[in-house]
Amino acid sequence: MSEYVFLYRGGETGRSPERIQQSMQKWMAWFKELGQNGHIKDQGQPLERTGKVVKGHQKTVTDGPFAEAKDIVGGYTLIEARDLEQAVELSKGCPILEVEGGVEVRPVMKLNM
Amino acid sequence: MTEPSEHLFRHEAGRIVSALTRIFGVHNLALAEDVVQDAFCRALEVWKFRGVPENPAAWLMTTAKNRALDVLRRERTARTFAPELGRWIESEWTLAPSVEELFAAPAIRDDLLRMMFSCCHPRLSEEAQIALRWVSG
Repeated sequence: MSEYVFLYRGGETGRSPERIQQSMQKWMAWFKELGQNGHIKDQGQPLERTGKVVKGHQKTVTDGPFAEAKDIVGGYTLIEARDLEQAVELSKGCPILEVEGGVEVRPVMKLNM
Repeated sequence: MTEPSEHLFRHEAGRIVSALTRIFGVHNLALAEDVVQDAFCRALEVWKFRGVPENPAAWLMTTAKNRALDVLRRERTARTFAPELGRWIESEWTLAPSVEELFAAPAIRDDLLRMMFSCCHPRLSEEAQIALRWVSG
């Protein structure tokens, strides 16, 4: 088994109570299924959409990130899968895909390579 | 991980919008709805990773209350809020306790009733009356 990080980008749920309720239930069902099949190493954390960016020799501090809403990472999960192909397959169940968001699937580098 | 009850968000939307309308004034209904939606979106983000807290309704209420305090602090000079809140919002000493009181359980029961009366107020546009009916359940 190898480890992969899912980075959740963008995704607007719609803001009525009903939509939020539906979205919540879908996410919980998805995580539950991943967990039952032994794919979740760490369910991860949500991230605030804004913070600070520190850059360069000057260590310039700016507000940010000022990416478009659809590109901002809103959270991550650490996944265990056989290979990248399986990890991608698992990511296809993510409810964020139904609301114009995306999942970035990134293999965690292995130490023994 | 516990699951939230099936109608949690819809039920709480009515209760919280009622409390917020009492604080912001009926004329700021849209602002009250924004605050509720912000609180709900935040709940969704946090809960999907960490699970639903033991008392989700209280969590939503507290989040909305904190957002309301932010809004009142930021806009107390720019906007007029509910007249009955009056000068209580001018000072930090009285702001938080007043909002706290309006969010307490008995106050919210009164607020729901008040919202139902507000729905019938002849000065409201039909559109606003429908919106109010929606939040009152």
